[in-house]
Amino acid sequence: MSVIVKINGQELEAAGGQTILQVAQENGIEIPNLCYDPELKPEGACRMCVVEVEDSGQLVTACTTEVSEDLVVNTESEKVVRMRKLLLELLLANHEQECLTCDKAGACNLQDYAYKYDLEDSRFKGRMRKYEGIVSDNPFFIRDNEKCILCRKCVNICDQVQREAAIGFEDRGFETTVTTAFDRPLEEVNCQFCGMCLNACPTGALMEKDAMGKARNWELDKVETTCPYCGVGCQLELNVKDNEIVKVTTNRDNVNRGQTCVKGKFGLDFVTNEDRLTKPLMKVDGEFKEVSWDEAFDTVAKRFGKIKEEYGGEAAAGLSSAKCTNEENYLMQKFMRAVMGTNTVDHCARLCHSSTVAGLAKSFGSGAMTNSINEIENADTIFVTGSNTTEAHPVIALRVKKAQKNGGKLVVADPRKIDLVKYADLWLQHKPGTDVALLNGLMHVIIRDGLLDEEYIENRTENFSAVEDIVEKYTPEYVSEITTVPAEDIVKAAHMYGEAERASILYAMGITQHTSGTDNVLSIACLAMLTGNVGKESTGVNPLRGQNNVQGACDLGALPNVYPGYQAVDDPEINKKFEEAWGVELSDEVGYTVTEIFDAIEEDKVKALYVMGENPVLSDPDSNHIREALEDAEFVVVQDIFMSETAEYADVILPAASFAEKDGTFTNSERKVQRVRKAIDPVGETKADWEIFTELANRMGYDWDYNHPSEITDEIASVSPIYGGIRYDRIEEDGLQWPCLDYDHSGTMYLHEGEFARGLGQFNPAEYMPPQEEPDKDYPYVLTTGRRLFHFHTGTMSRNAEALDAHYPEELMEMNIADAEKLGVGEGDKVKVSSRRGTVESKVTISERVPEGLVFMSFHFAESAANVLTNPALDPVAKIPEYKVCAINIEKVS
Amino acid sequence: MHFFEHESCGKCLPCREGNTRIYEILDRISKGEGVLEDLDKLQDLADVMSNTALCGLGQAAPTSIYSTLDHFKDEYLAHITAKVCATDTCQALVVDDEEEYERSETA
Repeated sequence: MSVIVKINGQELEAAGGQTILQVAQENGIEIPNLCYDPELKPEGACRMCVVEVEDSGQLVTACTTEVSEDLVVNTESEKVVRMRKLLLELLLANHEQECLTCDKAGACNLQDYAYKYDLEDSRFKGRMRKYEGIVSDNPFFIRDNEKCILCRKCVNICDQVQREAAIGFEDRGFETTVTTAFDRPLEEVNCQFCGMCLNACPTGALMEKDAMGKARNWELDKVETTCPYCGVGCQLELNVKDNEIVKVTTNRDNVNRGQTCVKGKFGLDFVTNEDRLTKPLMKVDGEFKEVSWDEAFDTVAKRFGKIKEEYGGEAAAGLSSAKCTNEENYLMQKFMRAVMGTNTVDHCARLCHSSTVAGLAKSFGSGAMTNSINEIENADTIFVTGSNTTEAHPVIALRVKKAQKNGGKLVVADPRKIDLVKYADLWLQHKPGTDVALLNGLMHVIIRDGLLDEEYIENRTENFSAVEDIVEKYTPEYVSEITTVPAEDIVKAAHMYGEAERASILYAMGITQHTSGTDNVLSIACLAMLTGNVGKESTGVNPLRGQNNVQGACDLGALPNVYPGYQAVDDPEINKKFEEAWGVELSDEVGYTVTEIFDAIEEDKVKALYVMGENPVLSDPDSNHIREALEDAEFVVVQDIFMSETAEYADVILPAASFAEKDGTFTNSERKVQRVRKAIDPVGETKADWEIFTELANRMGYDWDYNHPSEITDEIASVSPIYGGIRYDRIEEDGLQWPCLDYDHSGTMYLHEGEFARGLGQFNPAEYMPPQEEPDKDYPYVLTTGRRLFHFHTGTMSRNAEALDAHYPEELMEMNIADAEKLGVGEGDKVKVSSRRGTVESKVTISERVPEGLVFMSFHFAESAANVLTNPALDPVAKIPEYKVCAINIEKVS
Repeated sequence: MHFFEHESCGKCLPCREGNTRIYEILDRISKGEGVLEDLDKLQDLADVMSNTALCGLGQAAPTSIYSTLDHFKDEYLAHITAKVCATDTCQALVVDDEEEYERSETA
């Protein structure tokens, strides 16, 4: 119901339930405030937003007062202004005016309001709150409580948005202080260092440590760009002075809504780390020596040319990169296909979500997140499985926590007691690798108890009878035997999911990285279709993509079987279309996948490898095998921003520009194509990847004429229908979600509305198959791998980010207390971990997060490289390796 | 005022900061250190608290300021200008010498 209100004489239409402040802001009327944040419940603490109600002359706070019919208010009446000035005077009496040297000056709300209301000083000066100096208990930010005006936003954000409540209030009245429980250092409490408290702080009480003393706010250029870490696609502002990123801030009108995680906020200094590759390197007699770009280009062009000539294009393989832009992935695959003449181009999506692409394409016709990130918040039930969302996709986890806080049900299925379990209504702790059984159990109960959406199944899907046949035997009791989840919890979970009006499934590597990965995904799709939860807002099947641009790299055809836009290379029509577009003859033979490439090198079928921004030595399973293959290859080019473990094996290393040094686009997990903008000049002699490919193609006799990534995007739009409407001038303000078919199309918020991409949704239920390697006498423990909040992937970025690496410098393998006792291992002790494939050493942390018999390691640390241990056994369809389960042995190192 | 300063929860700005400032001003006046502008300040503080405080405590805290400014302004003035406490309540202003008291009365 809408109402008409009058603010400052302006008649405005407002929705019932809106506050005066919201209506004012929507209509461009500014009302000063210090404690309001759109993500928080109205606090009404600072009282700065008082406005005068005309009839009664009363003052009310605009942030807490809902509008009503015929309400007439004045936001700057004489009385209002007098009160605001007095409130500000009270604040200034307790706040040293250190604006001359304060790093917040120029971006400080208190300073702005003092200026607006012409207050030079306060008449009320007296006692001041005193603190023992600046608290600097972590590598990321400082707290200076003498500048704190007790707006309470930091505490509320930590409590209501991050839901950690790491900080709170001590004392009361005038003595109120923001601190941790018992004043313990932040590093010792549950602070996630997301930096959202900093983003919200109106004064200089919380500030980025690294930025202190480097720049006044008005000297900073804010360059809006997309975060290079995970697939959420947070929009960040790089604050640049003199070609240096001084700090990172964010604004609100975007997918992250002003929120960040520790990596985006404090982990971007890797860009200017002194270890960056700055000059092309060539291996001469086993040593790298610096060469000119000219020499490097010539060498690569000649060697690749020779290999093509001698062995044919199929002897070359390319590893594209989920870290690079869409334009660069497009050029990489175009280089391999059009210049070299092979479809062997793949990238790390093979190792994370290839089973998603395979499974969802089969079920729905399109292998991407069906719904959008901001829709998660309005789901009635969220089923999170195989996703440690708070650490791997921190900003998406905030939406999950909010949904749960809003009354939605949260069901978490994970062998580990991940952080999200804290907020879950129900936690199913199943044995690693038993996902199909668990999902079949849920479907069994949904069918048994009549929770299915019969109309939806009838009208929108096919092959339902197969589900009935297969899941019949998966009774809760039977599933309980396989998974160790209590039977009654399986029933409860099925009801929570099946009874919800809008149920959303979020999953990640815990589902995909199994030999049964594709079956897991197919079963998830069945579960969602069974209950009609695809093709509606706030529902869906939502694979959370791990890399900033893994979605884009797939979309742009960095896959051996499809051209950009998932158009099959072995479809003659499609092949012809691309031959015409690119003016060359193209191969219609599907190329090798990542995992197959290294086997093909060993079998001498592939001679030359071009690696752009990937680090297979650390990221691929069974590292020793990868190292051997790299040694065997005749010619290896690595294009990267740092010397990686893989680059050690290169013949030529080409130094690439980082995300901050170039223009382009990334596509986030929700299919949104967003801008990447150049903030600083390329470090050293580095070049953007798209420039490198353009030059190489030209040196190999092709006429590529790209002067800016936007020109590449225009070409992409012309050959890839799902990107058909993407053009730079359309995504300046906000990105577009594909499918975006033409320049008038506004993008697609959620997929499969009314009809699936493939027509009817197809049920493809599967039988449970145990993981390929199970614990035995020699290898009695199960190892599962994954990510940590403070690091990313193989650490190329995060381990070169000073604060992140200082805070979390080494691997701490998680082990259950019972196992620790058995092995005589204490917290921080070193252990030797071995599998059938190799041995690594790691320190141990003893925790309840893992059950007895299971240990967890991340794969971020070269010193404790988990992938030396992992099993390269592949899912038969998607060829994804089983990272999540392998059998290991653990010995204490004395 | 000490009661209100002590009872303030600290959430809203006017009550958290205002009570302390009122207390400080009254304390100064009671010690003979007050100045005439303090009366304006008291009026301002009372207004901002009664008009904008979040709850009844902060809104009602300055009631005594309003009533004393209304009914006992002369006493405030005596404390500020003559440095005298007629009721001998303010320890700092209690005068032992009878003569001196008379002198100050006539002054």
